[in-house]
Amino acid sequence: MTRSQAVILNAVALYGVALVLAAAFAAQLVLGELPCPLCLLQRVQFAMLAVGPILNIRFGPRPSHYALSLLAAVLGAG
Amino acid sequence: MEFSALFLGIMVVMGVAWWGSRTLALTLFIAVLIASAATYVHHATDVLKLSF
Repeated sequence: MTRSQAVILNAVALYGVALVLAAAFAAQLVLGELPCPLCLLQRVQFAMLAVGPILNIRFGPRPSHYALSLLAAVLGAG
Repeated sequence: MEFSALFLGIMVVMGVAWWGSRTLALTLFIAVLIASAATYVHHATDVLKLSF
């Protein structure tokens, strides 16, 4: 995989995270579905998932950047 | 209150990751991760008000 392909895929991942968070906040603000405290925390973990792809786009793909997203995903799953 | 601080914190982390240094972004990420884990442990035994 070339660096530009990796950057494009990380950008798609960022759009995916943004879409999920937008849907969650739309459900909260438009439909009135209020989140519980753990659901709010899960949204924070979703936002933290985005840091790995941001670092990949800015500094190039590195395993440590993917590890950050994995850490956030594990905490979010908990 | 703590959730607002966490959301602001992750906004700062994303901004630093995009415009700032890599080391600072990693450090702030770990700090927010620890704060998130602490908030989770604090609220883990909350009673959930259910509608059924």
